[in-house]
Amino acid sequence: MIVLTLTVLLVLLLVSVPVAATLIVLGLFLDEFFSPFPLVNAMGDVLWTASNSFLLIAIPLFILLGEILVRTGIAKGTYRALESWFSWLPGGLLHANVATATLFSATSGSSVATAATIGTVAIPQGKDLKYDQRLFTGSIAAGGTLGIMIPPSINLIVYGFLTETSIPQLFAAGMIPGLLLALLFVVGTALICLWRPSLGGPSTHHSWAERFSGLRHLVPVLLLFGIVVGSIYAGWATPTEAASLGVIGAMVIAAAMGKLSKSVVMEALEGTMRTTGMIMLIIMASYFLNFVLASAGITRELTSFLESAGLGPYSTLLMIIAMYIILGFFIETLSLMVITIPIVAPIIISMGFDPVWFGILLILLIEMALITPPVGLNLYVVQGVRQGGSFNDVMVGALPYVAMMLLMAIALVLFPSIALFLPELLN
Amino acid sequence: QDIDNTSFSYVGSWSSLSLYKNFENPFWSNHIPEASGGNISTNVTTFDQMGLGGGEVYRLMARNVIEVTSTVADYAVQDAPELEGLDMPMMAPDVETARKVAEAYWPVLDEAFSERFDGAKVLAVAPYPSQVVFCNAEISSLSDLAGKKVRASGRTTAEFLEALGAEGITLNYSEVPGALQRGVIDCAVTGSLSGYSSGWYEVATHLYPLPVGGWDHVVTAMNGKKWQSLSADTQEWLLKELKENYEAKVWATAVDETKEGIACLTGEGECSRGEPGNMVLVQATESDFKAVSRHLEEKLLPNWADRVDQRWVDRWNETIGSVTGLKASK
Amino acid sequence: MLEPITSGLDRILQGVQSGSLWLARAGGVLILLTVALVTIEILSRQLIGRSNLHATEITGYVMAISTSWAFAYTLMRKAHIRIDALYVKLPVSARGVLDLIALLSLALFCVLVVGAAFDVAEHSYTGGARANTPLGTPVWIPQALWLLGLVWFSVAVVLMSLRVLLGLLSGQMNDVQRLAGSPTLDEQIREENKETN
Ligand code: NA
Ligand code: NA
Repeated sequence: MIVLTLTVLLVLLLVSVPVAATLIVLGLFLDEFFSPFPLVNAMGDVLWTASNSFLLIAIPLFILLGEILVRTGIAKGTYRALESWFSWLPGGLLHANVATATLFSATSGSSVATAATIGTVAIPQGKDLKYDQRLFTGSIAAGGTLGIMIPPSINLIVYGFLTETSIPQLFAAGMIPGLLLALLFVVGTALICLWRPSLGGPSTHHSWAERFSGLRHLVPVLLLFGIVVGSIYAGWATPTEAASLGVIGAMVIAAAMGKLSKSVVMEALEGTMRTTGMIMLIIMASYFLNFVLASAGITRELTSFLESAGLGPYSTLLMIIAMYIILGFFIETLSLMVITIPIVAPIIISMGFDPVWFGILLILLIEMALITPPVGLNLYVVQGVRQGGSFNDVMVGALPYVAMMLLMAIALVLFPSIALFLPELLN
Repeated sequence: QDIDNTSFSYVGSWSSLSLYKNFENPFWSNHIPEASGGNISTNVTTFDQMGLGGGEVYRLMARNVIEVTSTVADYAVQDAPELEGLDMPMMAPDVETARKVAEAYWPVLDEAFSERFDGAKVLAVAPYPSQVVFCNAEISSLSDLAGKKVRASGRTTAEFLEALGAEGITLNYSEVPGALQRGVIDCAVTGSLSGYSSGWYEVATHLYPLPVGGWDHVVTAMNGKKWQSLSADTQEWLLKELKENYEAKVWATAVDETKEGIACLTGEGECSRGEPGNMVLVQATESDFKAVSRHLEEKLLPNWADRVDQRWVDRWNETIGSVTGLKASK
Repeated sequence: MLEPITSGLDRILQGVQSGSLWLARAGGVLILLTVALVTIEILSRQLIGRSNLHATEITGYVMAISTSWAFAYTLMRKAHIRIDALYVKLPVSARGVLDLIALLSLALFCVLVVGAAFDVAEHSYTGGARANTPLGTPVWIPQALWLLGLVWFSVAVVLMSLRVLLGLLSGQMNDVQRLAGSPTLDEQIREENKETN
């Protein structure tokens, strides 16, 4: 069944059927041939449940926040300032991409929104300076994934909810791994560009005066970080409510800088709706596919597979990591979390692993799934933002970062305190 | 006894909670196939693993998508307001009463399921641990909830809190512990043991141990056509198995779990599940119960009666009314 | 022979295009209103200890409605993701056929989804379903607004499919590319024009 499913999926995608339609058609195909029940009867309820979602609203809100920063030029100022600090490294602007993504991740709980924001600012620069499109777009897609590791994070909320783990602890645990991963991206990118300079761009040097005077451009984003994360820890707002405060904050800051106008808001809304429409159509379709897969017994197969293997803790962990990498190729990440966490987390926790630590490891694997083809939302978002060029560029360009994430996963397994140090310190 | 050669596809309730892990899953995955001598095979999953919210599963069962399913009856009151009568705030303060209420109302539920969900058959009614109140604020009786910001789900609980003078806050469940800790809300309602396992005792100080949120009964039902397709022997066997090896066990555990939940949260009594917390246990007083009966009869029951036909109100009075001594009228 | 039909269709499509833009904008405004609602809720909770706005429930509805209102606009902007690794290597006529297949698959998607969404909304309406929340919203209202966006999306998809089919039949490959082709090619065409200018 699995081989046939994958074949159908790949063929449909290859003949450039839209991803959302591919997922629905695949669901119908599986329903028709593998399910004794008329699952298509459930489509309306499944789609309504998927769309009518309080948690998902954070996606358009964070995208809107980013759009406002982009359209008012605040994002560009941030990008320029970070460029002056980081582009002396081999690879030039690629490091500005990663650094900006890291900073924006601290105000955004969604990887997709982070990638969309950085992409909108950075891609025109990359084109003007004739950067090799592969690593350039790849660094944006990968940098964007930091959005769910560095708090706030919608996916960590979902994990905390499904496993009854403390969300503030998870947020604290994501901080250091997020920053380390960003550092790893920078080092990795520099090494690649030392090896093949043509993949990056010219290293540019800026005077210290220029660097320091640029720091003021970081103020708006740092303020926003204070509003979004501060309001959560101060007890004013829940993590999803904080996204709304972030949008208001961005508008107020932009207005204070004299950069907010009716046309800016309108453009920001249009951009938000375009990206949200693209993402939500795929998410809706993937919920239906998920429903069909669960009905067809894939969850049962997964459970019995994991339980019957009878392996020790670390072998089981390795198998679970491998499973996430493989499923991550094909399944949209929120659905992937919903299908698998209820099965996997209890097994892992019963083997003595820390639930907070596993949450962070899982988020790392989810980040990976966001940038692995053929189904990788961040790849799609970056491709959508650049409006041109082949999808291949983004796909290939993200691969080195997948390798770096794997390294990070190994480090997390070997040194769990990378994740657990901060929450333990706070307790 | 001749048991049909057949298969059941079962969709259970929240996969992360103990009801599914300790009762539903073992019963449907292992017990039924074994007890039927291998005649019946099963396929077991849960609504959350299917990406569903839980409120739509009976409807999907009526449309032949699902054969057997369990969900919290309160989730489905959108489609069948009759179910709401089963579980009113503090109507059944202890497990014994709750069980009597559920047994009395069973035939009424069965009728409602059959009418609302295309001939569906009720197979079992089991409780979640009672839905008690956790406060990160000092309270000494039910009336102290007045003026507090309380997170609750469900319409009847919200109406009850309103009657008490509390502020009903709607928040996503996942955000409750953080919101409690940081004072976004003062109190929240959940099962005592699940409150313990998710560490609510670290963020809340006072525990009011009576079911302000009711029992969140989980009702198991079977698609009508599927039920009709079974032989009379198999039907009888299945109901008996459910009663003895599922329902009775869940109710028995509810007694222990309610006790142990309180012990673990407050440190008063035996807690076998880990380090106990030290929440202050608030005792219910006679005047609490008087106030509850008044609110139920003056506000909640009339509101509910307005949402259903008179004949369901009559049936309620004949069954739950005679167990609890309450009276519902429009 | 097809000329009058295609030019008529083109005019209708222009109308659909601007309709889609306005519907998406309306969705955006709904999202802004939610932002305001949530902010007021947070402020009133902090300042006067009350929050009666039921933002959680309303936000969910807004999410469903505003995204469905955006689908047609996303289509017009060619932003529904297609993987074009193979596509860009094919000759023009084959690409046109793939464009048509892509649109037809979306049309299939729409037929199924609209039918299913209609059933859900109708069932809620006839059953008088009310949300089990303090607000007790009659759920058919948000569901009908959600359905509206899906229906509009279907209309856009069907008209586009028809136009692309006619374009293919009458060999107007440029029109097909402009309407439904992969944005990758638009870019290449722009680049080439730049160089020849
Ligand atoms: Na973040
Ligand atoms: Na992927």
